[in-house]
Amino acid sequence: MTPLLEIDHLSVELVIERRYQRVLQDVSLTLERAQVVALVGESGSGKSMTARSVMNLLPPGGKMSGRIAFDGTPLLGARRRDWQRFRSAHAGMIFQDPRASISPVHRIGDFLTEALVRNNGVRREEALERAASLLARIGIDDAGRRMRQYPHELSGGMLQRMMIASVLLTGPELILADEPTTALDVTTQADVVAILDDLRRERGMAMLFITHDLELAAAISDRIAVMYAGYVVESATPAQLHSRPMHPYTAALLHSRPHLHERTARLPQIPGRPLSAFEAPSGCPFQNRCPYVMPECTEILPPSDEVDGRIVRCLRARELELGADPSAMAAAVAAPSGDQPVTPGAAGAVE
Amino acid sequence: MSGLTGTAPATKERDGPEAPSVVVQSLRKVYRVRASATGHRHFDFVAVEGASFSVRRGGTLGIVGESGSGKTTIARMLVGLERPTSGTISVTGNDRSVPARTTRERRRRGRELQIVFQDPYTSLDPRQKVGDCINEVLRLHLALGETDRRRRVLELLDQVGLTEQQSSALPKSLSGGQRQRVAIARALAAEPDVLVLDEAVSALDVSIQAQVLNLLNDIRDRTHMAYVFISHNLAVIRQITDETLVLQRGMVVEQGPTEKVLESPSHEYTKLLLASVPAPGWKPRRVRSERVS
Repeated sequence: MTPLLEIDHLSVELVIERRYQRVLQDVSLTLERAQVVALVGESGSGKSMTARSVMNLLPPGGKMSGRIAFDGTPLLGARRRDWQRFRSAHAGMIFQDPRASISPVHRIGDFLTEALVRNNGVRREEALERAASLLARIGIDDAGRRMRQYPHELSGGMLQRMMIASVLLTGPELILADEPTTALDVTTQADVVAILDDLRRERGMAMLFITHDLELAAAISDRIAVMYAGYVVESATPAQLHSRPMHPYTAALLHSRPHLHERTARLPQIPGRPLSAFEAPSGCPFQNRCPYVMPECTEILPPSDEVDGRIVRCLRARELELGADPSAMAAAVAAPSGDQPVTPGAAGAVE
Repeated sequence: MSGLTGTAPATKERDGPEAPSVVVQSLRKVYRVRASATGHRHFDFVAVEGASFSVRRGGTLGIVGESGSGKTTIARMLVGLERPTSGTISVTGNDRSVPARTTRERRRRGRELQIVFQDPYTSLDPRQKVGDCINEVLRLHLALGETDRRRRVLELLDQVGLTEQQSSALPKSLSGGQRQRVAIARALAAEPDVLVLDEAVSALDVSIQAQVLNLLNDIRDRTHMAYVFISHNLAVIRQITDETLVLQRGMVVEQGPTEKVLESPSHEYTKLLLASVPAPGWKPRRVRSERVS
């Protein structure tokens, strides 16, 4: 069966400081029907640009190359109208900041029903009815009053629920959620994520979920792709990733977070700062910050290597033993035995 | 809780690591809110209802709660940007419950307590070079000569992991993490006894957040500065604070050693906050709607 969404060797260039610069490099991802893939990474890693590329919503002048296909039909190179049809009928996007992406001068009811009325030819009254019943479903009791209100009258959490409702109403097969809960309080986040997850399951929708929170990604997704400097450096199931990260960057991310139930004398740091694709050196993009760097890393761009059903972009992936996420130790499955673990800095470990 | 009452003219106690740096008693803030855009009717909105706490030298108090719980209002009252409706605040024994009347008094308060705001994009002057921004604080608060000041600027920048070249940079050419480190260096320049950090690491990337948290721990160990650390991130609170205060809609619902508050919370609200943090095996739950229905 064809996957719902295929991204193959996608590269994207944007105009930054008056010239074209790379922001995505050779990104490949597959999303099956009803599957959730989480994109995790720091700022500038290309998470948002990946989602925006799928929707053809890059900033003006953005150039894409590679292949994006939805349900077997190529999108890249398609006509404007085909993209529009894809966006209105098959995909929906949830943005991070609902206040910046919902028009402040229209009532919530109009915002919710706009797509149904405009694209799907549903009568306004019926659209409003459908919206009201969906709002009731996600735990908003006074739907009628809410729909007569304007965005400024709603809290951030309530507005984000509205954004989710607006996307779900048209019944897309694919949801792109770009940090939908980052601006929300933890309790509101739990609620919003639960709503999204419940309804998505019920309707068999696939989702690309972008977040910088590895724990949240693990809780919601079937697969996590870790991005760094415009590359996907590792992708695996949440259990694999937390119990045995294979890319030094993934491991460093897991280890440098503070933990709720344990205080560390000193958090392990990743030196330097996260890079964008165009700032990354040739060779491995993580070389300057990597404790396991060796001379080859500065020369060869690690290929996307498949190891035990996981993808990893590191020349030393097979030999490094990077250690589990400390907070997942209890739940962690013992790392597969066989290969001798290699300690950091062990000289001559590579043949 | 210390027996000091803020209204009494207490003597300045700087010796001994256990001396309290901040003593806050029955702090309350009420805003008068207009009932409608045009009407004359008002109602009282209680932002903070009777908070009391103290922070000793070299200690760190965490304040947690959701948006609207009053965290930032407390920070703004500590700095003097808001006047408490009632209650007392004293920092290193000096009362600051009422606004400073003279420039001299305002400066003195600035030397006692500094703040790092959440958003480094709006808390730095976009037209002021990084070095000048720190230099200005040194000029206002310390009696140093021109060359000593310049040397100190570089020292402070180095302390927060910024280079000499970056001292002549404008904020716009720096990343969010770098800007936040400039804001921290600027706050440290006054050599305050107390540093208030209002969501100061919340906007930072994970790898930068670890750097800044380690830096803050180092500075506290070296200078015995007291921190009031405001955050909604409980893992960050665990990492950096030793006492924690949980706020819900302006009320302190739980207060105590951080380990105790996070490991064996006694209040329902603290439990709810903890249960909402994604962790291994965590499944998102419909917290709100369950409570509503």
